[in-house]
Amino acid sequence: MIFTIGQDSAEITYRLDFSESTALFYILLDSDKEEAIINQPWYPAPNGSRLDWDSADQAINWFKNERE
Amino acid sequence: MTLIKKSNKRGTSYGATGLGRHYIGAIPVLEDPRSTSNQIYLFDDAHDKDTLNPIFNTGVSLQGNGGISSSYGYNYRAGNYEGNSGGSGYGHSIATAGAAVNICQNGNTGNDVQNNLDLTQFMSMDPNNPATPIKLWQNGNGKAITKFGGCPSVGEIDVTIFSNVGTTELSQLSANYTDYAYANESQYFRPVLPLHLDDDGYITGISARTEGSGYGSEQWYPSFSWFRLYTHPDPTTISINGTVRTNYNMQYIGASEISNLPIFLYNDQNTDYQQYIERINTSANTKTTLHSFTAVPTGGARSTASGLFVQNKLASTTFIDDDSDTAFYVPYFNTANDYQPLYFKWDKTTDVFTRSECTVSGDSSGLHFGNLDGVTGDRDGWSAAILNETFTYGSGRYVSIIPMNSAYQSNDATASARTIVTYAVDSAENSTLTHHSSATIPSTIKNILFLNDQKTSMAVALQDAVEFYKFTNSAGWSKTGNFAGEVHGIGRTIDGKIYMAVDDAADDHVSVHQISTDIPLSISVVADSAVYTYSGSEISTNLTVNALDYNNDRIASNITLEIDGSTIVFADSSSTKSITTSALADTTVPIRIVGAGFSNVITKIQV
Repeated sequence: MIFTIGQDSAEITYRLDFSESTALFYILLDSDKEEAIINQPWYPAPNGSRLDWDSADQAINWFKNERE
Repeated sequence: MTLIKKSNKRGTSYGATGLGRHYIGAIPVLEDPRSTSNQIYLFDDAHDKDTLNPIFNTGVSLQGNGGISSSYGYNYRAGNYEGNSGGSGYGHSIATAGAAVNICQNGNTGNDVQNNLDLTQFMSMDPNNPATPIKLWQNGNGKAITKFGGCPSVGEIDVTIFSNVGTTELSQLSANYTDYAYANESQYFRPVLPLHLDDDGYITGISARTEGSGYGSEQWYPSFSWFRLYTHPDPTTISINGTVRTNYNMQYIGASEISNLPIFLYNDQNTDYQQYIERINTSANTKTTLHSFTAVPTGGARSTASGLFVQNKLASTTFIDDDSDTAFYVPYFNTANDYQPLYFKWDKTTDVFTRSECTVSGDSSGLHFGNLDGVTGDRDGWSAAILNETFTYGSGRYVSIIPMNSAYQSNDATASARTIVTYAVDSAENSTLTHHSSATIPSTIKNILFLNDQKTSMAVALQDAVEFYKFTNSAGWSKTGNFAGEVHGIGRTIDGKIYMAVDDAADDHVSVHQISTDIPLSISVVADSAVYTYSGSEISTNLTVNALDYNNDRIASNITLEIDGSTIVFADSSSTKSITTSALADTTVPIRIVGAGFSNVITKIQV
């Protein structure tokens, strides 16, 4: 699942591999290269607990909030 | 206090390579961190670590080509430009392997890059893996030594790595040297401090965000990230992505016992209650957020108008608590501006952390502590910090909060902004604290350095002075001695010797001084009576003499006493006497009063 953060020249493209309930995020670099940056097996809830991911969308929203 | 060596590297420029390296970039003290080496480098020249005898025609080069670094720690200062100081603006002027701190001594106030604190010693919470400017790393049979330019300060970050060092002296090795920043997504970072070596030979450390290059354009505010460094066989730095948290202070908690991967704490500089704990898989270049703690504690979300805002809050080192768990304190101040720390436990079998709130009784911290001067802008983002450290004395555990600010005279006018507050920890429940004591320091605390592993002895760096304090259960933190001088760096070697870099020359080159429990910081001479009435007959009486170290403890020392005046003599009628003081008891010296009027006793230490 490909998604972007930022706009225009500051836009950065990421890819989420959401398999076996683990969110593995990649940053897409130049020349069609990508680099794994975050391996997140659970949703880190605000109260400190670890919860299973509900969906890939939840993982992407979490990732975007991390970068705000 | 003993003067060890004055800088022989006179000059006011960086110098050149080869023989010309004898300029300001020669580090006053650089300790070889290996137990197999007995060399220490003073202004880059090798000396025997025990005797301090020079080893002629032998020196170290951190650039590997006889050159000097531009940011490892200078031996010269020029006015208020801290970058040219005894090292406090750039790297460590005292690069010792036990612990070290730079001290800003400039006259700058406000949003100035040169006011940033050296947080190096606080960046590791692991008591078994302290953060030091020079460090030995061992992975199997491979050994490497790293020397980094320094904690957030001015200028570029220089990195030197001696790879595969074995037992060869550093003076015989060629270093790998780099001077760089790296790009992380669209931001620029500079590696600040290496902290962990993993099983694959990667060193992980803390880096800091900056923008642009050069003194004028840099911004330094808490925007910590991590970097990785591949150590064996050749050092290579690797750019990383997806790691930054802005306005969070970052500390290394320790290594996972499951995977030997490093775990870091991010603590919000402003709110104190938002923490993230992340585990870094350095060789895979990924991180995992173990926990997010962003819920507001019962003490509430403090106003941004508080003097506790924009302070770097530094968590304590880890310790084994009353439940035999690994624990640590994270400073949080509630809406009443009172200290109410958060208590973290780390289950090392699962890498699960839990957070709870401490119970505090007795005096609230706000009665003694507050109204701090904080960070003023994006260039002095590390200029203010609250250290929250725990230690034991006897059978008791304590936690002290220490306000630090390295801007010129920033907290001088407010006593509560330079007061250390200590709480006693309940032995049966370590999250229960009771106010113990408070100690107000005479001027702004510009930084501190613990002088022993127990953290019950401390050098408190002030503007143009260092005061020594020790902790006891009966008195709390109390002053034991002081040194008046412009001290730019203090460091502790792995065998406990303490060095200081002091700007004591007319041309502002620093000198290396040493203090230890073998060297008196002061001599106490007290007569049996404060006043004697001489009526024509001699009076036999005594002087009580003690040589005292920086802890105010007696030490054995050879002292020469000279009587200046004609009204008293020693018992044998002499006016000069050499004695050896005792470490165990007062030393009594008999004297006779033979006339009316004043005489002085002059003391000289025989070194």
